[in-house]
Amino acid sequence: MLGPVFATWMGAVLTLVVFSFLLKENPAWRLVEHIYLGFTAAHAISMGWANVRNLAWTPITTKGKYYLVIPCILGLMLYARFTKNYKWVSRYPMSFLIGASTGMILKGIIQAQFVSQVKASMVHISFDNGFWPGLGNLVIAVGTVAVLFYFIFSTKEKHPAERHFRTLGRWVMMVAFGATFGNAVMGEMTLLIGRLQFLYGDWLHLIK
Amino acid sequence: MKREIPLVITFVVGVIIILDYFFKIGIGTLSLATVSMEIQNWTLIIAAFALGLAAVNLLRIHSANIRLKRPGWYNSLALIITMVIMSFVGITQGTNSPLYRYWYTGFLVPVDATIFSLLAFYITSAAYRAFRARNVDATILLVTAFVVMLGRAPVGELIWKDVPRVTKWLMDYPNMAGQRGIIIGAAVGALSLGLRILIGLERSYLGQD
Repeated sequence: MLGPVFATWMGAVLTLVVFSFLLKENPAWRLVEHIYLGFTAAHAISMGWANVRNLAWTPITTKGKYYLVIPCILGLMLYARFTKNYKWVSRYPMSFLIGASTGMILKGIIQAQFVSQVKASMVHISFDNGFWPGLGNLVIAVGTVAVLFYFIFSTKEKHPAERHFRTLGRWVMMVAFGATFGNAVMGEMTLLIGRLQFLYGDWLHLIK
Repeated sequence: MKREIPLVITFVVGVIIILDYFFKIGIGTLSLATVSMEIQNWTLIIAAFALGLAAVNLLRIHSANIRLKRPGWYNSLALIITMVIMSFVGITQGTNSPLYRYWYTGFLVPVDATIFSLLAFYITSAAYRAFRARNVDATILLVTAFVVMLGRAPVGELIWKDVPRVTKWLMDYPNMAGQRGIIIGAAVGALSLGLRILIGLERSYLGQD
């Protein structure tokens, strides 16, 4: 196996090739892009194989759980998609996947995204602990309702108060979008700084 | 047969998992929780086979590129070679083997991080074009994003010592209110879509005959 110095040089060259895309799309970038895609697919295959081995193959061969052959057959039925006359066979495993995923998502949404979020929005509005936390709790209580009002009552308003409340909801959302954007920029800047530190530190040894 | 049975499978499988969340039902050693857990286990196994499906699709497309000598066919060849070699190493030696880890950390990690860091340039360019305080909404977005960026950078504290505190307040309260409203609104939408799928009103995943 090649050593760590080769890995550092490879990482540096690849970083420069990817950065070259900022100037113009070029053959080196396209080659790296394809190798990256191939590697990512290989990683997914390896992880998928590890799942099949751990969840199906090992329990079947060592614990005698022969019923686990059924999901394996269902999994193989997915490949009927590539045939013309038996394409419909792949619907059976697909419907199993969709049903199970929908069930799991609905279960998760009910608790994590609905009940707990509603509960968390029911805050005690008091200025006993200071002005800013009190104002913050007021913003949470009113702001959450205003955003929901904007979503749910997005029909033509019958009263001017409805319009004002919807506008408030939109403003609260703008704050959330602005904060998300600011965080995204800083997250990507962190990655960029990380790559520059790698180039100037690990590769060129110009910084420590 | 071709459409009805898949709809029944979707309904039964989904309902068992949801019922398991609300009720504890069991007869002898067999309980709803056990069946639900087994279904989730089966889902992981079938999903693993689905990953192979994606790989086969990728192979079909890129082998056609090579066979027909389409422009950039050598890139497709590189893709297939990488996929085959790394899949072989990953399957035979495992993803934690030294050889696999070497190429994973030497190739995949730097390329992955650099591709995402490219977004810093594009997001800055997009911000330059989009961030014009044309109305109240755009101004609120602009000011919040600016304060959050300033609060996350060391220079913010140098300009005014309370910038990180303002950022924290913005993140903890107005941002939280907006995020919660969006999350609850999206949850209501996802619930209705999920129910439509389970009762068979939404069946686009079955494809066409």
